[in-house]
Amino acid sequence: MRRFSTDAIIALVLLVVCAELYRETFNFRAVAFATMSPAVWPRFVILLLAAFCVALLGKEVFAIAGGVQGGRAAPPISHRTAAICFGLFAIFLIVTPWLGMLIAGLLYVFIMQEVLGPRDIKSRFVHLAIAAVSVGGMWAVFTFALRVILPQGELLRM
Amino acid sequence: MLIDNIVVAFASVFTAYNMMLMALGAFTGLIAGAIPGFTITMAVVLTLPFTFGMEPISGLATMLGVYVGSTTGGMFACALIGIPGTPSSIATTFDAFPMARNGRPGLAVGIGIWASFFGGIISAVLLAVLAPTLALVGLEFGPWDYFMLIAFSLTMAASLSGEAMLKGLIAGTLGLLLACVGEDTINGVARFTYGIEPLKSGFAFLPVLVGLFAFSQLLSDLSDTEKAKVPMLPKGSQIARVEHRAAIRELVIHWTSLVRCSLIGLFIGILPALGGSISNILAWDQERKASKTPERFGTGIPEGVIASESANNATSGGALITMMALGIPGDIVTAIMLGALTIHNIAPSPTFISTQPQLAYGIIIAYFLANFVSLALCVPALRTFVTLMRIPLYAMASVILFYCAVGVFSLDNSLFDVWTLLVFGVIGFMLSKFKFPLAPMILGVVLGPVAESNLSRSLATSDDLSLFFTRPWSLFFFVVAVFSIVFPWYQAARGKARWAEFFMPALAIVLAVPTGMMGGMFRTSAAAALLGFGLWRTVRQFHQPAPAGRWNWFTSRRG
Repeated sequence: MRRFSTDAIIALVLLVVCAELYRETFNFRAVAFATMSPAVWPRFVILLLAAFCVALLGKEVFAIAGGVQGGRAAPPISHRTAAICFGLFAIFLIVTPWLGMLIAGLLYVFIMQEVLGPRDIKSRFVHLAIAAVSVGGMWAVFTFALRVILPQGELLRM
Repeated sequence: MLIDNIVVAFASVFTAYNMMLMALGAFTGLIAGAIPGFTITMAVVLTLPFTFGMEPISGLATMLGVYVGSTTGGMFACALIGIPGTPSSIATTFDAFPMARNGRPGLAVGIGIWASFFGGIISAVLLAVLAPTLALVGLEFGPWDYFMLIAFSLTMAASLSGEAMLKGLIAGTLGLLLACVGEDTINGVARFTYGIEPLKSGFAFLPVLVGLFAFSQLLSDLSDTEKAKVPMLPKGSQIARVEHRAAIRELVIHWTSLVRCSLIGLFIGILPALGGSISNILAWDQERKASKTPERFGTGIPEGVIASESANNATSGGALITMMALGIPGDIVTAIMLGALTIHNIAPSPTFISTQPQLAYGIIIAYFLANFVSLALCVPALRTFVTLMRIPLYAMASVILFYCAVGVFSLDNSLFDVWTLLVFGVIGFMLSKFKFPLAPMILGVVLGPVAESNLSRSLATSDDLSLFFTRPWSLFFFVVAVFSIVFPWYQAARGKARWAEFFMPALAIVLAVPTGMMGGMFRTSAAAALLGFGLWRTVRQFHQPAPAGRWNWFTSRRG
């Protein structure tokens, strides 16, 4: 038996999301004398989305029943690099309140290059220089030229 | 009146400060557009954070500089390395790269630069003439018509996804749903916030955009780690000298191609949601069909480069016409500009040009000047591009990802926005991997609140839902929306299934109904012409049956 394609799984997940969001529309505060209830438009959009998801699911089911290759099966490509980048960005965001945008940014750009690029000694110095110049420059532009108060960090405040 | 407005707007745009910002924007755009993997949308999105603190006209001048610059810059990579810098310059590669390989890289770049310039200027002039006229038509629209126009924009964007149109529709609806998060603009009721305080104001526009377009795109580019480590241009690569005189000579010889393709680009730009990525291929294809020697296209001939480059630059002007006259984005970049304008509390609509003429004509003048600035900066930008292409992608991407975070933070001094960026980066990456188009989603985010407010206004005016289908303009947009949904099947079936031969005549006949309902001499004549054309083509198709056994009504099976 053929397994469900990724598209079918996405359609199912979206249908579950639609069901939850539709339920949530009943929790909206009721407004007296409103010409259109705040829930009308979201419900319309959710129902539309659900209809499209059902159509996508149906297309996939018919494709499987007809023995036709449906949407793509489980993604064969490794997305390890993307996952690492997202993870590093999340860590950068977690530590920013403590380290501040400048130090956290320096570390982030340097570590990203180390993870993605070559790791010999010469490259390490190049990565460090790129991180220092780019992050320092950007920090200076935003802080002094655009007057944006970037997070200073608990560490520097101490 | 037009001249007065233009003179006043010119004075407000043509200041040293604005011109400096525009030049900076154009230079950045030229380089960003040239680097494969960096799209025009990314370039404009990443410029947004710098423009928030500026006066609206200064911010728009900067963004228009980036827009025009990146549209032009896309062809550098086409000519020099055979990879389109942006999707808007795919067709440029067909002839510019062979021309460069035939020993004329300077001519290829020169023709690209000048064709882009003239394409942009032609569309700027028509922008000044057509935008106020279209805005007058837009004044006829009621909320029902606007609602249907938005529906048409979304179906049009989704239909561009071709066979994955269903995914395009899902992406568009997801965008509409995202726009519902936070307090609604009509009653101030919190929706889908799940008790999260920062969500009360909804998702900020910038983090969503940067996440969907820049963050996810960069991570897609980085997926191939080995490729990301290697510079795109080898060390020691030399820049070709741009042959300006020879390029201008070619443009004079092929001026009809230049004008024809600029008009094609402009028309595509005016249609909601269609952008340069369509127009450049369409113009190149039309030019090939119109040529007496179509077999020479793709071998490195000037007409091929002129067609693609003049069309993609003219598309920008067309997209601005729709944005300024109707408040509907003509392409994804103008959708971003629309969002940027709302941040400055300016909402383009049919009354925009008449109520804010200085700003409206300022946009036209800024767009006009941006073409000159971009032309002047092409050569220095080309040198910088060659230098930058020696930096491996992984180093550039690491710095840009950090810049995304700082830029998004600067919007509201909020780390929550940067988390939003990360979340939408993940969503954008996943959607791209599963072949969901992102353009309909962002159109949904931009147009969602407009659609909801027009629905509310229409229901407040009348509870008669049939008005959505019986008013002339509503019916007009409903018809084109339905036909745009069927369009991908029509494209696939053309020349194979018989029903496709009747698609265009049917569209003409059906469109004649709302056009005739609009009344007036011109529109009644147009309706009659549409009806006549549709009936003539239908009768002709019936009297000229396809060769027996060659094809049938609904399938593409032959024999």
